[in-house]
Amino acid sequence: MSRLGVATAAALATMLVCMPVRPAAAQDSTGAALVARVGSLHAGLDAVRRALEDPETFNHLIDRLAGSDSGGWRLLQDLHVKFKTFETADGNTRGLGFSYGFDKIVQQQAFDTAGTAYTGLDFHLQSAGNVAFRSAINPRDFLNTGATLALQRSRGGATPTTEAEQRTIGELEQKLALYESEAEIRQSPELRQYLEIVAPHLGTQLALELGASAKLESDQKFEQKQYAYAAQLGLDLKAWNRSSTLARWNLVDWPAAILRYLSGTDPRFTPRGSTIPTVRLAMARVDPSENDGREALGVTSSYTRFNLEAAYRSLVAHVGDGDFFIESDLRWYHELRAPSVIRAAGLDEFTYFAAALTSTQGPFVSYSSGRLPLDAAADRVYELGWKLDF
Amino acid sequence: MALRMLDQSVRPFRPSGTVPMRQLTYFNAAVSDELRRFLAGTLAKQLDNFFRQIDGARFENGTDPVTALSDLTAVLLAAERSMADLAAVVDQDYRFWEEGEA
Repeated sequence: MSRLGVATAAALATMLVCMPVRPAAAQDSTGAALVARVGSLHAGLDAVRRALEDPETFNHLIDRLAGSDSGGWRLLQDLHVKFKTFETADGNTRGLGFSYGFDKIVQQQAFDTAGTAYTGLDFHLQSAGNVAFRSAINPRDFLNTGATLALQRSRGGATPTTEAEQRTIGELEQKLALYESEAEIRQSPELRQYLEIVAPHLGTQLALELGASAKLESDQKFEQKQYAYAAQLGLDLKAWNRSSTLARWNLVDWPAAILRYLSGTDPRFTPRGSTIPTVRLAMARVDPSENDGREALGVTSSYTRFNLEAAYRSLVAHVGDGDFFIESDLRWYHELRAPSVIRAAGLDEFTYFAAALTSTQGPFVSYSSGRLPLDAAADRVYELGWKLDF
Repeated sequence: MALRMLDQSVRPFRPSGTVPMRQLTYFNAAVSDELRRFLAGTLAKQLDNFFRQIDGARFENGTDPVTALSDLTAVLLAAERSMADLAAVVDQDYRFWEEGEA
C-alpha cells in the first residue's frame, strides 16, 4: 500500500536562486564570521540536498532540455518524463521516482482527406509506466511497451464558411486577440458577432481508431511480465456545437454544467458535447510468460482478456485567471472463461478508477482505487495538494 | 479563438503563450497513453477542420494533411509544451487569409 504524491518546491527554488554570494575580500576573519560562514555553507548544502530530493528540480531540467532546439534532444521531445515523489500510505517511506511516456510515429499515410474527412494509417511505438528508484514503494507498478498499427477515421466536426465570412472571421479574430482579459472578451461586441457567424458551422465529429498491437506488460524490475497481442477499437464522439441535441443531452456533463452555471462561468445551464466520454475497447491474447500469481496456481497457459477504458474531463469553473476541471478514468480488464482457481484468487479481473478535481492555479483533490494487471494488491489513494509551476 | 470555440481554453490570446497543454480541457492526466494519443488525434483533426473549413486557411507550401496533423498531435501529446509552441506549429503549417489569402 503506497501513495503517489506530487511535491513542489517553489520556495526552495527561490532559496537557491537568492542564496547570497559575497566576494572573499569582504569577509571578516573573526571566529563569529567563520561560524556564520560554516552555517551558511551547511544551509546551502542542505538546500542543494533538498533540491536533489525534489522531483520538480528534475522536471524543470527535463523541460529545459526538451524545449531546446538542439537536435541532440529530439528524443526527449518524444519522451515525456515526470519526476514524482512516491510515498507509502503510512507516510514513513518516501522516495523519488518518475513516470514516463514515449510515443513515436514511425510511418504514417493518409488515404482520404477531402473536406472534414480523414482516413489514415499509422505505425507507432509506445512505452509508458511508473518507475520508483526503490521499487517496493511503486504504487502503480505496471509498465507497458509495444507497437501499434492503427487505422484512423474521422468524419464531420465543421461545415465550410463562405469567403466573405472568412474575411469577417479573420478581422474579428485580430480584434479579439487584442483583449487582455476574459471578462473583456465576453462582453465585447466582436465576440457576439463572431459567435453568430462561427457557431452554426460547428458540427459533430466522430473519430474511430481500429488497431492491432503487440505489447510487453511488466513490473519495473521485469520480474513479472506478460505479452499481450490485441485488437482494439477507439470511439470518440464530439458534439462541438453546444446547441446540438447530443450536446444538450450529454448527461455525463450535467453536474459540471450545473457547477459552471452556479459559478457564473456559463450564463445558462449549458452541457457541452465536447466532453462526451471517450471509450477504448481491446480484446487481447495474453501470454503470461512470467507471472508469479498464475504460476503459483499452476495456470500458465495463454488466455483471452477484454479491456475497456473510458475517460471524461470537463471545465467546472473559470474563476479569476484560473480554470477548475473534473476528470476521471476507468479501466477494466476481464479474463474470458477464466479457470475457477484464477477466479477464486481474484486474478481474472482488474479494475482501476481515478478521479480528480484539478485547477490551473494549484489546488487539486484526487482519488484512485483498484489495481492494474501485475499490481500486487488493490490500492485506495486520496490526495489533497497544491501544485506550483516554476 | 479555435481553442475557445472547441471548449479547450477561454484565456485571452496575449497572456496565454506560456499556458501548457495540460491546462487545456482535453488533457486528462489520469488516462492511459493509448487513450491520450487518441484524444489528441481527435482534437488535432478538429483544429484542422476549424482552420481550413471555418477560418478558410490553406496549407503552407510543402505541408500536407499528414504533416499538419502529425505536428499538431505531437504538441498536444506533450503536457508541458505551451500555447506558443502550438501557435508556432499552426503558423508553420497553415496560411490564413490575412497572410495573403484574401
